[in-house]
This record gives sequence, C-alpha cells and structure tokens, in this order.
Amino acid sequence: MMRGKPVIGVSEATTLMFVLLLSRIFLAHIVFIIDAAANAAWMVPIADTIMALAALYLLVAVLKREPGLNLAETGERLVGPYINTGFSLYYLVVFVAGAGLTLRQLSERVLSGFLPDTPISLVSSFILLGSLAVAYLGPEAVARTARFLVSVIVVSTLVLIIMTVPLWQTNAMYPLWGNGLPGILKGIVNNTGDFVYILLLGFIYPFLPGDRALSIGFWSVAAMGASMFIFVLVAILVFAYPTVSELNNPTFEVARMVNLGRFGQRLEILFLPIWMFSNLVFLSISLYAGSSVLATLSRVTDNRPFLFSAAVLTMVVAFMPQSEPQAARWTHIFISRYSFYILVGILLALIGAGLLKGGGKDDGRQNL
Amino acid sequence: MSWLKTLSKLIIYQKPPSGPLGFESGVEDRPPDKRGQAGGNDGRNLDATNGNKAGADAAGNGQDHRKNGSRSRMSRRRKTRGTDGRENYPQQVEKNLEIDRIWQEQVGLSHRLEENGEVLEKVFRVPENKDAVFRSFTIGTRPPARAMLVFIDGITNAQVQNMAVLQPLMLLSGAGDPVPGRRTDNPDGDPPEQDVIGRDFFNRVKQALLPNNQMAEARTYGQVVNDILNGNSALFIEGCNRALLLETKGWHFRSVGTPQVESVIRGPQEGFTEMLRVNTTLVRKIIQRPSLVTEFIKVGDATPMQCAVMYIADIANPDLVQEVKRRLESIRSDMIQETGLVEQLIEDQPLHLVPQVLTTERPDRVAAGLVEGRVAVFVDGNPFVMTMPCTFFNLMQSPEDAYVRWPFGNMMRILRYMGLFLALLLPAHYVAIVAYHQEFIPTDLLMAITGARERVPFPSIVEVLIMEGSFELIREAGIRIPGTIGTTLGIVGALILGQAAVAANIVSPILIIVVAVTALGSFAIPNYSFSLSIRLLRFVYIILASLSGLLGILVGVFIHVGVMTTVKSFGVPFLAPLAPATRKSSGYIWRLPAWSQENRPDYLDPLKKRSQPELSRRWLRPGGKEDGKT
Amino acid sequence: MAGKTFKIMLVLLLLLSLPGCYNYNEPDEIAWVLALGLDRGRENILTVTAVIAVPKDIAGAGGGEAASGGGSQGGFFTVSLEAPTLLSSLELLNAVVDRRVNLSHTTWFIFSRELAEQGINRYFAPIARFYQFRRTSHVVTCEGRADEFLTRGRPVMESNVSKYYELLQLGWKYTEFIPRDNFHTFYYEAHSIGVAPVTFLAALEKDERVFPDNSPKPKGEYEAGRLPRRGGGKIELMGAAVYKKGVMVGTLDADELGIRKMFNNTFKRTIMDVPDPNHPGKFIIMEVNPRTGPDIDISIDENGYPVIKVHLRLEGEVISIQSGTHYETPENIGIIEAAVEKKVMKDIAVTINKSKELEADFFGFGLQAKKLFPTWPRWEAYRWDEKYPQADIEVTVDYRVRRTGLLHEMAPIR
Repeated sequence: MMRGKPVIGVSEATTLMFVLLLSRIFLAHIVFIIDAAANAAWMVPIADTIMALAALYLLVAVLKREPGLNLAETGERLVGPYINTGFSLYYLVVFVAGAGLTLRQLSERVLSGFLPDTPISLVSSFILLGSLAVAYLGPEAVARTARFLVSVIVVSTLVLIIMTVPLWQTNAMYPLWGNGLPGILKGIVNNTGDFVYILLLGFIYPFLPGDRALSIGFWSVAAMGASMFIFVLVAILVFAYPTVSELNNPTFEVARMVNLGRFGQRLEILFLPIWMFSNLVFLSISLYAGSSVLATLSRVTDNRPFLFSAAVLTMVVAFMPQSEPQAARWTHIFISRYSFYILVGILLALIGAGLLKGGGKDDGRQNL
Repeated sequence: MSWLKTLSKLIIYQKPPSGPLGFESGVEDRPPDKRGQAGGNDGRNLDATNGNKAGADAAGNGQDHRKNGSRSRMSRRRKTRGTDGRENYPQQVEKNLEIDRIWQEQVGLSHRLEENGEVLEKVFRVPENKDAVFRSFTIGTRPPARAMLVFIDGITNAQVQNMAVLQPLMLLSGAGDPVPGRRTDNPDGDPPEQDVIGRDFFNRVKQALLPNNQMAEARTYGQVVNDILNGNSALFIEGCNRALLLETKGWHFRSVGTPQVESVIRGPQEGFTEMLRVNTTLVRKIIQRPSLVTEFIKVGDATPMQCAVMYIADIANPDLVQEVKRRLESIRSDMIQETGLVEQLIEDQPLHLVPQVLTTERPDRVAAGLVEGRVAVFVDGNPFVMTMPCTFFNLMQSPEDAYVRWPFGNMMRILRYMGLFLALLLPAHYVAIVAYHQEFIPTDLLMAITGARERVPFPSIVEVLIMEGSFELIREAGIRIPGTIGTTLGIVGALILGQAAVAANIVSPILIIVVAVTALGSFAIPNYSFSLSIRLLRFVYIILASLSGLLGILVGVFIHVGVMTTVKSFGVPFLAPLAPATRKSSGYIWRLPAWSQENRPDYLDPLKKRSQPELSRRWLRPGGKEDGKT
Repeated sequence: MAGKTFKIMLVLLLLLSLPGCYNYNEPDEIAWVLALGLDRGRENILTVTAVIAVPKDIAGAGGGEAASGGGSQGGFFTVSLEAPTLLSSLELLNAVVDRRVNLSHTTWFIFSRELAEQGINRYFAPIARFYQFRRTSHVVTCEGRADEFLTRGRPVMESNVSKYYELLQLGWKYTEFIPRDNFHTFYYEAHSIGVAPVTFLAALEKDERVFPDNSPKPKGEYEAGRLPRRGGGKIELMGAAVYKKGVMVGTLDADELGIRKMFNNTFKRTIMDVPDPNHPGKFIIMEVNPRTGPDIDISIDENGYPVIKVHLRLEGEVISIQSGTHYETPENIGIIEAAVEKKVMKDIAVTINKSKELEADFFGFGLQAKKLFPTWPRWEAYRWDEKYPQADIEVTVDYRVRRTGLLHEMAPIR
C-alpha cells in the first residue's frame, strides 16, 4: 500500500499532542506530586507548564533550522552521526520505555479494577494490538483519530468534574502552602517529566504546515497544563489531604465518588473511555515515534517495518517491572524525574552546535 | 513456507507491482494465436455465445499474467472441464467474429442503399431477429430518391417517426424548389460527380426537409448500429455514404413518482426514475444555471451503459471533475446496469465497509450537492444517482434538516447521531455491562435484570446473538413479502415473536427492548448502504464485548475510528471536516440557520467559496428591500 | 485476492480474541452482598454477617408472574460466619452461598457497638483498598449484635432491601437526626487531625418500655434504641455514634446531632417543639431551616488556645401554635423568634458540653482551623486534638419567622 507523505493539519496536531500529554494524568503520576507538595500540589502543574514552554521554545528553535526533517535528522546535520546516534537512542528510550511502562500500569489497572481474572499478558497484547493497528495506518490516522475522540474525552471530563462540585470541600485547600516552599519546589523539580513528550513535536514536524509548530506546541502544552491543574485541584478538593495521597489513581476515584441521587451512582463508566482512548492514542503515537527514530537511524524512508520491532520492545519493557508499584516508581524516577532535563540538555547541545556552525540551513553545512 | 512468505509480505513493506493489468473483453473470441497478447480475466469465457455453457479454454495456458497464486488452480480447473462450446460451431464463431469486426471497427458506409441494407441485416441477424425494421420509401422530391429508414421496433416513438420523418419526406418534400443537381436534363456540360450530387442532396434533406429537433450524421456502421440500439432511427439515401441519425427515442419508463427509500415529510416528493434524460431534467428543473454541464460517458464494454456526469462548471473544482471522468472512462467491465456496480468500480477503497459515494433518489439532494461543488453521476436505467465526494457527515444528513425550522433540524440531527450510536453499540454495551461490569448498573435495575435472567437458560451473549440474528432474518424476509402482508407481518412478527420468546423463557424482557431500540436506531440512519455497514459492524462489536467487556468495545472503537480516518472519497478524507479540520467548517454536525450558511464546504475546494453574503436577508436593513450590491 | 483478505481478517479476529472470556460472569451466577455486619466473634475474632440479595424475589413482577409474598420479604437472606478478618470471609462465604460473592453493591457496613468500643480502625480503613468497594456506602453503628440487626431488619414497604437501606439514610435531607455521612466523609475526617467523625446510629426495636413514666421529654432526647414506639419495620435510625481514633466514645441524640449538622453545614430542616413562653406546658411547633451556612470564625488567642465564634442564621415557618395566641402579628412575632433562639442556644450549650466532655471535636472545627496555618507541618505541630477541649466557643443564633402556614390567626375554640 503505497502512501504519500502524511499531512497533519494544525488542529489535529494540537489535539494529538494534547491527548498525548493528557494521558499521563490518568495514571499514577499525580500522586507523586501530591506526595511532595501536599495541599499545594495544584501549584506544581503551573510551574511545570512554564518550564515546558521554555523547553518547547528551544525545541522549535532547533527544528526550524531544517524544515522538513525530523529531530533525529536535524541532529545528525548538526552534531554528526555518532553523537546523534546517542541522542536518537535517548529519544527511542523515552518513547519505548514510556510506552512500555504506561502499558504495564494500564494493564495492571484494568486488571485490578475491571477484569480481575484475565491474565495480564493477554490484556496487554490486546491493547498493544489495537494501538499497533492504528499506528500502522500512519501518523495522519492517529492524529485524526485523536481529533475525533478529543471531543468525547473533553466532554466526559467536564461532565465528571462538574458533577463532583457538590463534593468539594474548600477547607481542603488549606493550609495554603502545603508542605511549605521546599516541598513545592521538590514537587516541581521532580515531576517535569510529564512534559517530556513535547519531543513528539520533533517527529511530526516534517508533516506540519510551515511555521505553525510553535503555536501548536504552545496551545497543546498550555491545555495540558490547565487540565493537569484542574485534575490535581479537583482531586485535592474531593479527597482532602492526606487521604488523596494514598490513592493509586486519583482521577478514577474521583469518578467513582460521583453521586447523582439514588440512581446515578456508577459514573466511572464515563471515566473508562477517557482513560482508554487517551492511553491508546499515546501508545499508538509512541509506537510510531519509536519506529520513526529507528527508521532514521537505519536510513530508511518508511517507518512501517519498524513498527513491529517497536511493539516488541514495548512489550518487553512492559514486563520488566515486577509489580505495579515498581512500575509506577520506575516511571517516576526515570521518566518524570530525569528525562526532561536530559532532553533540555540535548536541545541546548544542539543549539550550541548550531550556533557554532553558523545559523540557517544553507550556511556552512557539512554534507554527512 | 507460503505462510511465512505471506507474513513477511504483510510486515515488510513492498512496492506495489507495476505494469498494467489490463482487462479486455472479448479476448477469448480472438483467434487462438492472438490470445496470449492480452492480459486476461484468466481466459475464462464470460460471454455465453451461442447459448453454450461457459467452458474452460484449453489454450488458456498462455494467460499467465496474474501474479497471485490462483492461476495454478484455474489452469487445473480448465483442464478438467468439458470441451469448449466454441470448438463445436466454428462457422458460427467465424461469422460472429466478422460481424463484430464490421460493427466495432470503423467500416464506412457504402453509397449503395442495397449494400447498406444487407450489411445491417447481417449485423442485426434479420430475418431471425424481428426487432429490427427496415422501411424503404421514396423521398418525394423532384426527381424522387430512394431511401430507407432503419430502426428497432418498440423503442422508437412511432408518432415522431410518422409525423416528423416519413410524412415530410414522403408527402411534403415536393413543395419547394427542385433539388439542385438532380435534374435529369443538364444543359451545361458533364453531369457533376455522383458524390457531389449525393452530398448536396443529403445536405438539403438534412437542413430543409426533416423537422426533427436533433439530428446527427454517421459515417460508419458502428455509429449507426449504436444509435439504432439507443432508439434513434437511421435514414439512408441512395447515393450517399452517410446516414442521418434522427432523434426518435420512445422508451417506456416508469413515471416520476415519490422516492421509495428516502421520504421526507416536508420537501419535494419527486424521485428519480430509470430514464437518464428524465433524471437530468429533474435536476435541471431545480438548478437553472447555464453553467450546469451534463457530459455523457459510456461505461462498459460488452453492453456499454450510458452515464451522465453533471456538475456546475463555475463552482466545481475542475480536478474533481477530471478525476471522476477519468475513472468512469477507464472502466473495462461487461455490464454495469446498476449504480451500485459503478460505485464499486470507481471507489477508492471498495473493500471498506463504508460507502464513499452518496447515492440518493431525490433530485433536491443532488441539486444541493451540485451547488456546493460536488459532481453527480447518473447511470441509465437506474433511479439512484451518485454524488461525490462524500464524507461521513453527508451520509448522516437528511434533506429535511434544512427544510424544517432550525431548532428542530438540529434536534433531528442529534437524534440521528444518537440512533447511530445506539444501533452500533447498544447490544455490545448490554453484553459488556451485564456480563462483565455489573457494578455499573444501579442496584434496583441489576436485581430486575438478574431476576429476569434466572429463568433463562442461555448466557447473555447467546441470547443477544439469537435475538439479533432473528431480527436480521425478519428484516430480510420483510423485503420480499408482498405489500399488505408485509407490514402486518413485520409488526406481528416483532411483537408476538418477542413476547412469545419472553414467555417461553428464551430471552429476558429487557433484551427485547435493547434489540428494538437498536433496530430503530439503525432505521434512523438516512443512507441505506451506510446502515448496512452499521448492521454488520454491530455483530463485530458484540463479539468483542463478549470477549473482554468494555475494554474490547473501546479498543474496537479506536481501531474503527482509526480505519475510518484513512478512507478517502475522491481525495477528500472521510471524516472531514472534523478530522482534518478545514477552514470555516461549521455546520457539519450542528446545522446553522439558513441565513448563516455563508461558505461552501472547504474540503471540496470549490471555485467560488462564498455562497451567501454576510447579510443574506436584505429586508433586515433599514430601507427595506435590496438596494443593489453590497 | 479474496482468499488472502479473508485469511488476514481471520488472523486479526483470532488475535483480537486474545483476552478471552476469563471474566465473563453471568449476573445470575453472582451473589450480591447488600450489607455487611461485623460483631465481636463468639467462636473467632469476628462474626461477619452478609446480607445477600435474592433477585427473583425482588424482581418477582418482572416476568409477568405474581410476586411471591411469603418467606423472604425484602428479598434477602443473611449468612453469619465466624472469621478472623473481614475480607477473607468473602471467600469463606462461598462454602455456604452457591454464587460468587461480590461486594460492588454493598450499601451499609454495620459495626456493633461492642466492637466499636474496642476499636474499628483495622476493619474499616483498609477496605478502601479493595476494588469492589465503594466510598459512597454508609457506615452504621448498631446497638446490640449486628447479625440480629441485619437478619431481623426486614423492610415492610419494599421488596428490595438495599432500596430500604438507601431510603432510610436519605432522611438526612429532611430530619435533624440522621447525619449526612458516608464512608468517604468518615474516612477523611478520621484522617484529619483532631476531628471526630460520626456514623449513623441504628438499633432494633426494643420490646420493653424505654421511659418509666409519661412526663414530658423533648423529642430531641430520643435516639436509636431509646425510641418509645410500636410497629413499623424493625430498624430505627436516629442519632449518631462519635468515634475518636477509631474507637467509639459516645452517642449523640437527636438534638445534639441536629446542632452538629448546623455547624457542619449539612443541616437542611427540622421541626422543633418550642415551649410556649407565655403558656407553660404548651408548645409552639416551628420548622427550622438554615438561611445560609454557619459563620465560623476561628482564631488563636495568646495562650495558644482556639477561640471559636459561630453565628448561625436560621429561618422557618410556624407549623402550629397550641395555645392559639396571636403570635403571628409583627409585634408578637419576636416572642416566637426569641423562644426558638432560646431553645437552640440551650441545645447548643448541651452539645458543646458533651463535645468537651468527650474531648472530641465532632463539629468539624478542626477542618476550618487549618486556614490559620500556612503549611501542613505547622498545622500538625499545633495538636488541635489537645487544644480543643480548652477552646472558648461562643455561638449566637438568629432566627426569623418567614411564613405562618395557611392561617394567619387562630380564633379561640368556644
């Protein structure tokens, strides 16, 4: 099936990035924020968003040097093949490890909440197969699916949040500074990794129209920051601290608390599509991005041969942690804590190399 | 290890095979040495010539042009079939070949009337064939000329022939000047060339003697035969090697009635009929613009069907028109007598479950589409007309949305989308929730369901499949039951069957409601082929739900949406304008009031983007009516 | 080509059926536990009682057959087991119950008073981890033994006992003696510093007399188990049980619970018998609703003890005046208002004394006092539970009469 170069429009790319980043909320990540900053955990997403926007600006500055190439190819032109291979392997690790650990946490959550007797490998393979099928159809298909499903996701989320309003206790916001400023700073610094997926912008950059990459990134990161802020805030308001820090999956518990009189009590059925759709989009696009990195490393133009290998790698990573708490902890340590700084370091290195070479794409570029 | 090869073909990317895989009809009728030259349809004899069974071709071993593995099976099959019919009647086959040669190649007419008559008699297999009529007469000019009218009985309008062809030629042509160049006495010099004389007379007849409103000249037998088959009459004159083709079509057809499948309450009640000309006139009645263009294309090889392509030349994108015509013209197939067949041959992905053209029976819908910038394809003999390109949202629109008032139009649209959701997903959700996620049901309802299920011996999934299967059976049977009994049986069948099933404890009562609501939802879908695909997919979702509950449904929806986004209809993505988003793309789910619909859909890329100015109700301005352009 | 497509689709279908039917459970193969009761065990640590629904009795009219009246009214049966822990009895119950036990629809968790006075920390808190468990269920403390309570507490009007349970606790909207509490509020109040959560208090009907004579007692002195009545269902739900650190320390009767609800902002309505100031022995019956939430103002004085000022705003309607005096005129209406305020202040004084006596802050002031501290460690360091019994609490009440019912005056009976 021959296909042309995919074209992703602005609003699709924005929703794709938004859904991608949003899927992080529905797992255990926000628990670590609440652990660090207690009541004031709602301040953390705001600060993290600002840091992410700064990194986004760096990323777009690197990408703008070579329009039409993705981040790995641009890096090759800037720092040479060997260092760039190292950087590309880092991108691969971010995507594959993120996907694998997410898959594991997702399957464990599905198992403990909904299908207790099913063997986990079957649930994982099923989810991965769904993501693989759509990833095979191309980034265009994933972006359009994300655009189609984002309305479902957003509407259900709003409904859920609005219905929890009677349960809010404003006294849960106090003491206002939570664990104090050191705690909040620790929360900010340790949890930036949720935004590391702006890296995806580097891999769909060749398909985006012209110079809209910055606004795409800006709107998706801002929307993600706002959503994270709202979710953390709602979780704190509904379950006061310290109760909320015990939860494994605060957004899911919020959905279970909703109560519309005697009849409407089981509204976590609304939560399930949000959760599954956003994570399926996340897995699809991570598979695509991982296979795209592999394709660039192997100098192949089409990424589809590597989709299957990316899927296998994801599955392997998914079953490396022994248990769900270990998977959550690994995610926190490797992805939430360090990955963002490594990415910023790489971007700074690329920009530095670009400045050394002289600006622009027609200026003193070595043919590698 | 062929499975390994197949697997590797799926995983490893392969370039598509290059080169034409052409299909030529009639290749099996060519002499055996020429057969290997064409790529074929495996050399199978698709024409049932001389009434024999289609047999295997012993010389078909040369047809090894197909790349898939089926050829080896075909050649094995060929050897085991009986002898070929064509080998038993070689003279007949020879004669047929010669006749086909006359007809299909550009053999010119002769000057002599008898020769033309003989050739045409041979082509039409007269005297066995009683359909073709050869009427000889004399044209009453001074001096008289012999002429012959050839036509096929029954498809010509006898009135027109008698009044507008035979009468003026036989009776009224004597009035007027004597024909130049036909005088028997010639005072000055040699008589002019026979050809010149014939041509002059011919032109005189054509231009002054025949009051038909359409006329054409023919130079070859092929043109003559084609037009005669269409219902026209051919006039041959002694001494001319050209024939006049006169418009005398008189086909019998069903008159314009109400549309059978798409009825609305508020709106015009005319539907298309089987005559191509009548259909195009119905559309032209609505759009009275000089830029509305109708092009005719013949599609197919053995029996070419006339197709008409209509578009508005200053709105529709020329690339789109070009693409539609290109696809229609390059179809090589035997007989395409229905729009559905043409649809399958020109769609981008015919194996997908969703239709990529919109077939409709209503002229107002076609007209609305043309004004937006779409292209319409009519097939002769068919009341269904295709408009392309088409998106998912077009399939879910009904023309009534626009004709009723704005709040109700939107409410109906929302109902329809709910119907779509219910038709596709309700039984699956029932199975998933009752069998896997019982914690989602309120306690009272759960007790009611469980209490009702205590007496039922089947598991939920079997119940659902039984009920859905029987409902499909009722629906299919209901199509064929004659009129009055049909409706009664439908109601009776559904109610009593359901009630009896509940009383016999085969199904639980809540399932009857689920199945009934599902059926109603699928009837709410305006487009028939789309509702067929929904009916099929419903079963896939039921199976998925029974295997892994809501997780299965969600992954299924994800894959379904993912696949739907890759479907393209003539270059327009199927889910436009939702995904990808286009400029000013409002009004696809939530309809705007009639005065706000200012732009044509962006994905059609029309030549004129704006359909109304911003203020389309000029009476709102102070000063009353329209005072010139803005 | 068709053959290849078919094979591909077959492979896909087989792959998609990977998850299999491991979790496929017909609803009539599952036993739905509607309530769980815990007692001190006679033959083991705990006696766990499960109320299991019988769906075909509940849904009796669904299939077109008459509802079976005899035998199990309320559509349930109970099983009591002696078990070491609560959740392992889920498995143990399957020795008796033929269907697989599922807690997803449990609405009530009953602890007997005996067990509660020993401490229920280890029982209720860890349930929150279990996936079938819902935080919107309710915690009830019952007088006497829980197994008897559940077995004999059959509904009279409903055929579904879980509907009976849910409707009983819905009384928080229109009474003052049913608290608005579910497991979630109980849980987080138990985890908040210094706040004493409450649960519902329920009991079975007593056969002997509650009070020795018929001297007038305010109806606010009743509570579950001390309610003089005959007839109706066996369960009575009135009042609350106060817990401190997971141990039951006392009960609240109707008036005290009403005051707690007023301070807690969960108060919706009550009907009060106010002694008539001009006609001793006669009552004025008033409906009391909150106007707005209570104004709670907490500050810390120089000794480090909290100073709490509460201003309650109430309004209401005259339901009946037994003496027939014209209190409804604007000059006299202040008399009624003052009388109501006096009664409410009296009840408040009694309740505050009780809370200081029990050293339990069941009003929830501890939740409001958090606003005074900037960070969580400092709030923890303040030790609200120690400072509260010496707190200085001042309450003012403002009651206004809004309507007088259908009559605006009463003519004397001659």
